Amino acid sequence: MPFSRQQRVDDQTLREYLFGLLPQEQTEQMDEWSVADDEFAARLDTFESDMVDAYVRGELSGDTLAKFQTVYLSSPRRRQKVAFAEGFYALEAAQPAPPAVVKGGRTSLFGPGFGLFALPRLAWAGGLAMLLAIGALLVDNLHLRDSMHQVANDRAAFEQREHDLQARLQNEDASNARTASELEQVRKSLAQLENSSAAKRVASQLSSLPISAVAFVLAPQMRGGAQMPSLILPQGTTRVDLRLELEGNDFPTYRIALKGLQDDKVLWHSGPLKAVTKNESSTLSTIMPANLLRQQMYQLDLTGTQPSGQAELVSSYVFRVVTP
Amino acid sequence: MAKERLSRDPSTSPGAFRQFLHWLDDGTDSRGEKYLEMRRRLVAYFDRKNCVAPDDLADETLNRVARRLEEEAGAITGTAPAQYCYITAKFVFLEYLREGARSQTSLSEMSPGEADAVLGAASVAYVEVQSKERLSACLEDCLARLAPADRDLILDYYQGEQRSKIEGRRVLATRLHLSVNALSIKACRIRNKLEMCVRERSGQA
Repeated sequence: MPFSRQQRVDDQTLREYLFGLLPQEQTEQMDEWSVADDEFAARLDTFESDMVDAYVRGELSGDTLAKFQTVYLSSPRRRQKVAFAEGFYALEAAQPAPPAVVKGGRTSLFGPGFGLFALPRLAWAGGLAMLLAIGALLVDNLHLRDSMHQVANDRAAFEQREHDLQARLQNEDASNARTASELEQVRKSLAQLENSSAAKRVASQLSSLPISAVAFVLAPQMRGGAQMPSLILPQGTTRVDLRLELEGNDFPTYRIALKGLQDDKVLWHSGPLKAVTKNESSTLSTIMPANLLRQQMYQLDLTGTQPSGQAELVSSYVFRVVTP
Repeated sequence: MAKERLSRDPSTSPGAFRQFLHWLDDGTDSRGEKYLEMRRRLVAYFDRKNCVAPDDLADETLNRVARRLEEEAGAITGTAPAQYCYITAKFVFLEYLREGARSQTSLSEMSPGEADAVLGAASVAYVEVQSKERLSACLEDCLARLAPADRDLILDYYQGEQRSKIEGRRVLATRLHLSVNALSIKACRIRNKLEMCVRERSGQA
């Protein structure tokens, strides 16, 4: 069923569209709007940015997280979006205080002349970028986690106090100097707290960044039973950089599906892939999430897709996962 | 920032390109912003279709539209500019699908971006760290290039976490006399600009 333009497309549908899960007719409809409809294009943009931010902040979970990792991150351009969001988040984390707004006018921490204070503000970001490089050393520091917990509690208390004072200022006479002064003091405390916790927050984010990959090359399966290839997955591996060697390259695109050998259930599939031919041998490469794999036997089904869209099973690759 | 990215196909004359920008603007003068926005949408469209080089296909689409407009003496009637761009993009995509020869391209003949797209492989950890450092430097630079009002808005918009962020956005929207929805669209546009700038400066566009 195509969508009607009047019907508001909900978040779930947008998510399915970005993950390539919608039926073709609906996908085409949204393709068109994404280019030709200003309102829809803006909404899709906002939704996509929010989803990327949620991933960077570790707020995605379950099936959405799995789809994000396996489908959304399969494109270099989209990985760049994630990298941008990570950089931007690190910068945002370095902001010493939320925007300070008082009745009757705005008082930003950096004042209206941001340019005058840009260097120290951005130098913070530079310092944090260096922390990003060395922060892995801090990730498992239990003491740091305890401190973070304490900081979070303190911040929540300050924010609540700030909110209360702000509400009181709005309800009372703006000249209530005592309340305004207390509000200013709470904001200063919040700023100090943010300063001390910003670097720690960035280091903490590092613990959720996927950085461990294992490369795995599979040759076409021969009759007569050569030894079953084994994929050794060290603890903490987050992705498998998979390369399949092909017997030939007869299709414009291919798809790979991962199945458990015992139950034949599809656990994951790639997007459309193009084979690369070099020196008369063709290979397909993709990334597979490691968290799907347990110590057991699996099968990868390779399907070729004709230009007409017709799919055909090309080959199967069986392998065993070993977790040391 | 807009001027830096306006690139004309050599086969299109400067006059025809100006005519194309004017047609895309549809009666207003966006100073090339409409062109950049359309290109960004087309790149995202081809990227969602898992095309190997979405930037090239977006440029091919825009060049075709510009050439067609030149042939039609500056007027394509009956279809809005954005709609016409989408229809052309659809044809470019269908041709791309038919073009089996692309799959025969060897890795060594591809640009780094294309090779990465074909391999579908993310960079390894040390490259990621290097990229982060470079990205951070580019981000600082691009932020400094934004108009002060845009810079303040984007930094304020993304400040805070969860509840405090939502409250912060509400306050920001009130201060700027915008609805929260309009604010989010405005922030997203600035973010897109920033993102394009970072891509250019880090040589990833």
